[in-house]
Amino acid sequence: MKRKRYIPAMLGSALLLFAAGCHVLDVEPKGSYTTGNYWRNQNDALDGITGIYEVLLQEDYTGFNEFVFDNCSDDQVRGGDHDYDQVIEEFTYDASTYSVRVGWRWKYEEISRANNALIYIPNISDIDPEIKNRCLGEAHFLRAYAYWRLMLIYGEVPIIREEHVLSGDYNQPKAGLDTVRQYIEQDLLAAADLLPETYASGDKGRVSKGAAWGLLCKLYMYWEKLDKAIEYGTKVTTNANYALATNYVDNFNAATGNNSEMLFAVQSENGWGYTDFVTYHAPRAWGGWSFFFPVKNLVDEYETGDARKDVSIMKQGDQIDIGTEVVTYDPGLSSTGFHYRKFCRWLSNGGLDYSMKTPLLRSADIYLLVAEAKIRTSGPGAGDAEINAVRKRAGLPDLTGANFAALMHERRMELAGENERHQDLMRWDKVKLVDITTYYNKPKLSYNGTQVAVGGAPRTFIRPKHYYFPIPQQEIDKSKGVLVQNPNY
Amino acid sequence: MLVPAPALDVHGTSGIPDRNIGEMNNKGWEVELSYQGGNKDFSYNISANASFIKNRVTRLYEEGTYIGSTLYGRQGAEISRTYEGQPIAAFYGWKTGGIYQNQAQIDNDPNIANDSRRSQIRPGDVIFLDVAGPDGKPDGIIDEDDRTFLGSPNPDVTYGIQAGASYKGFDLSLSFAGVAGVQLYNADRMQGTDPAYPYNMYAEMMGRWHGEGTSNSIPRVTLNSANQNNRVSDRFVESGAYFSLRNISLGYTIPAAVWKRTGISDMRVYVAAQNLFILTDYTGLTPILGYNGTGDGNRQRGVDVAAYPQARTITFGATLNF
Repeated sequence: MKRKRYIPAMLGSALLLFAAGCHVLDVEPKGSYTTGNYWRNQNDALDGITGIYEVLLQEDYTGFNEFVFDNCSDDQVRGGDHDYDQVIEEFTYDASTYSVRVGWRWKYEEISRANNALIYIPNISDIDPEIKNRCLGEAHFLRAYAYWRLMLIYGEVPIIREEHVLSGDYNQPKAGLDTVRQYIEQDLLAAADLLPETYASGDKGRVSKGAAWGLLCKLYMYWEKLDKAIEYGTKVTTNANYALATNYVDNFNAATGNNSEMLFAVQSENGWGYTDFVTYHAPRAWGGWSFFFPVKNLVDEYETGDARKDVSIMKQGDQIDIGTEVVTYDPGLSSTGFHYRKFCRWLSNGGLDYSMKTPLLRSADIYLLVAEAKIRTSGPGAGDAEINAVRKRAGLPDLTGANFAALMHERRMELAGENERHQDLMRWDKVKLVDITTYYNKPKLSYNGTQVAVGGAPRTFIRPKHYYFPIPQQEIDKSKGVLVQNPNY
Repeated sequence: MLVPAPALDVHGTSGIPDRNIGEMNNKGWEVELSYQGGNKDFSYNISANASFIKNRVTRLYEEGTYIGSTLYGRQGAEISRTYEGQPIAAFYGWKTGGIYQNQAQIDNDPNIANDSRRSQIRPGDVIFLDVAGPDGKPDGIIDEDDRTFLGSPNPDVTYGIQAGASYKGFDLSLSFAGVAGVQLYNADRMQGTDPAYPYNMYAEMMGRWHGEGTSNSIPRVTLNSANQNNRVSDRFVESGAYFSLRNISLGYTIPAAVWKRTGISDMRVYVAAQNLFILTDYTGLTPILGYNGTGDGNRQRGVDVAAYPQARTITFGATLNF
């Protein structure tokens, strides 16, 4: 009897539940997104772009490892305990050397995130059109920057286009050098179109039109298209938004790091999202790991009265404020007797200041590139205006009729330690403006004139082999013959 | 076999799901023999078992491809690779042939005849063998092409012996375990004998090469590693065979007559030991490595990253039944 009465009631409630909606049981997985359910609105776009910037913090990329390649130059010797840094400095590396390997995947990660943004952001409708353009511009620039670094280090590299991402066909052969350059050029032109000229204080640190123009100028210089370099470089040098900072040191202080001159820097910040760039440069006695020591040859080249010398270099007798106290620099802290002061910053209550931004592209660099292009096309004196703008800021008197040697000197002083010297020398060697072997076959000296014990021996630069580093052997192996090693490796 | 999909780094750093496309083969046979005997007062039993297994990966996604594993230490050394047609997690590196004793040996060595680093190699450096070049034939250059199979961490024989005896109230049981035909890669020794590594070094470095004829196995101590003496090579591949007494227990059951008045029905006192001894030629802390701490599962085995040895324990006890 009882059973009979329950059955209709049960059936009835079952039907009700069914009607009310099984969707009560549907739960969206939280915290895991796919391209299918992300890229919905403005927040997603902004976060996605921030994610591309984040790759720059990586230690194996611009956080540290990219700068190891400048140990090849005559500006500095290696410090620290990464024995594999030795083979980079001495040109005895091979395709499985650590430093050669590790940057590759992070550059492609930056490309992958940018590709993602460029594929999916255009389809977002719930977004402010200005922000949308800005996001796309940033993605173009950051992708171009990753290919730029790949091109500088490896030369010919595979280009992973949006269609490859969508089809999953990643095993691409290397593209020719000009193809890579054209690809970078396209991205930078698109970025220059989409990016704003300046940002409000809340967005400082994002890349601007000037950054795109600046990198284009640099690209054209490396491409030997000097007239285009002048064209785009002049857009930067004549724009007040990208004026040189009042003081050289402003570029390297945490508080003023994102000034008008700083076109592109790694936005390291104390606490969240920081790089160990400052740790890799600071002396061991004061909290750092000491991986780069400038050499006597660089320090001696500064002219008297050059304000950049004291900003860039820590030398014997210098008073250094490490927050808790002011200490005197002892040459024994370094195998050369020097450190890069420009990259060492401490907090007022002690400890390293991770909010120091790592400079990746500055207007001063562009000024000097424009001057170089003008001197090389029109002869000495053509680049005086730009060179003197940089010199004036450094507290030096103007030059007239500055020639290529003066330009080389100015570049070395202005950009010491900023990962330009080795690439510059190779670039000039390729067009036979210098003989790079004469720079590298000399010993590197410490402050008292003795050859540096670790890393000071003269080196042999073999052309054209050493113009580019080898593609990581693991990638060649994994590609099963599609990826071919660089010549002479 | 679930294998990680071949991940070219050009896709970035995102994870790729494994695919079930690998095949591995374990073939062999097992033997067990046992014997029991004795009489009322004295009885004994003994049994021995052994298993002989050969392991081979028969298929990966493509011929010539491999599965890598976690890199070790400061230099990011790649020790284990799993290739099709080889045992799983085999060691992969360079072969060596002693130490250069003098400059003439370096000048005449065909292994580095065309090597651009020849001028930086000094007496006291390790002789690496030129196994192959890009086309498979030796080319006089020591590079990636000369890396080859060095050994397998999969044992050929795993065996054990159990024995027991009892006489009147005494009982004794023993359990031995052993492994033979296995190689281990002493990664900690690779790092501990590396002068460029900024920590203390193994005591064996006191026997390093420091003049002609002083050593043909331990290279010179130098920070200048143009020859990269401490790269992944057969210098650190050692036999991991061992024979150990895992468990021994000697007990005595006290006759019931002694206790009958106190209400205890029986009592046995015993002394037992675990890991009493282990016989091995392996120079590391212990040849029993267990599962590799890197969490790489089966992709890396037998790599000693200073595995902690198992303790020898001796226990005394008594069992009482009321």
